[in-house]
Amino acid sequence: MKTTGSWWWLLQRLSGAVLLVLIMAHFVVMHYMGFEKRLYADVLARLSNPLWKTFDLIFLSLGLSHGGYGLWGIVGDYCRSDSARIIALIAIVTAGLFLFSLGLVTVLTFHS
Amino acid sequence: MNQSTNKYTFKIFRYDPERSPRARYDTFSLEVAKGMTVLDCLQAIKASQDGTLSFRRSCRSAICGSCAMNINGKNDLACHLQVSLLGGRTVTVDPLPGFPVIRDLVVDLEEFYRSLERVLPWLVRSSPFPDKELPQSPAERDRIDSAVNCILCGSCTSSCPSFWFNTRYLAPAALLKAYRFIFDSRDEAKGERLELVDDRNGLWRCRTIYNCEEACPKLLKPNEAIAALKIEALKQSV
Ligand code: HEM
Ligand code: FES
Repeated sequence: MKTTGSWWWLLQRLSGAVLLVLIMAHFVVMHYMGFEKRLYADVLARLSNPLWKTFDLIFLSLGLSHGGYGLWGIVGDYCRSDSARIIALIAIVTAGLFLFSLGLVTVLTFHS
Repeated sequence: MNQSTNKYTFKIFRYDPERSPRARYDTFSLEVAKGMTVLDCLQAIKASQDGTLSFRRSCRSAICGSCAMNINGKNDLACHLQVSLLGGRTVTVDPLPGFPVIRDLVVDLEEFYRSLERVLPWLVRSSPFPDKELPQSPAERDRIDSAVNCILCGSCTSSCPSFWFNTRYLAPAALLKAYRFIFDSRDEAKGERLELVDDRNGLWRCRTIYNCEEACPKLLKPNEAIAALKIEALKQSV
């Protein structure tokens, strides 16, 4: 199959749309649930809850893949040289995978 | 109204690499009569003040696209824009941004035409042409109606930041031309055309900035054409 930009473009739009909802939920939880909800015990309870774990994992993967692909798009705008593009791609993928595993470990292994 | 109150100052970009590697602005003062366009003023300045002032023009009626330039920060056709419609008494004229300047207001459109060529700007058919005309319904014609009106002045491509970074980017004018044939009911090369624009230097370099729509002196919407092409490319790859 010919490599086409269209699927990536669609995924970027879709992840953007989902992120819009997730970011608003994230924002409400972090800033509008009252000061008392930000104590360690509450964070602990939330991070131990399987539903919140699922939310966080989706948020993590979409945020990173969307952000990574967005960066790759910017590289495509500015970088003409193939070697620079490959280095940038390796850097973005490596950073993405590193941050993803860090997030994965935090979310999965966290328990009260 | 006193005639002498109609004096305008023209601040014009000058560059002549045969004389000096440096660009500069020259200012000219000109009496502007009612109804005069920016092109009329440039011609008057060239005729009476500085014969070396260089710019392109041909039709003088907004149809050939030769006289596109940047006037008070906006790309427009000099022959179309009346000076009285501009705010203030100083008119700053620059060559179209994003293209190499050859001299004064004359830019090198080589890359612009190369991009255009890449999208095959002609009708492609494998089936034979009918004896008489090739009919098209009014609805089919409507689909491409505005895109057909493009006069290739370069204002949109010149206003596009994605093109500024990367002159290999097809850019709005060529993509609008691609749209004009891809959605033409008489054309039979849709698949091939979509592959040409579904490219690293094609559709996906558009960042939906909308400068092209603002720049088009013919009020066309290259941005909408690009959006339609993105969807079409997606449909084709399903
Ligand atoms: C409110 C949630 C978000 C929405 C609705 C959203 C939407 C979008 C859309 C539609 C694009 C594509 C733009 C284009 O094709 O020209 C995009 C690009 C991008 N997004 Fe997001 N996004 C969101 C959150 C994020 C987050 C959290 C990040 C960082 C991790 C991010 C980083 C980027 C980057 C770097 C680009 C590329 C910029 C560009 O193309 O000019 N976005 N976003
Ligand atoms: S001179 Fe032809 S468009 Fe202005």
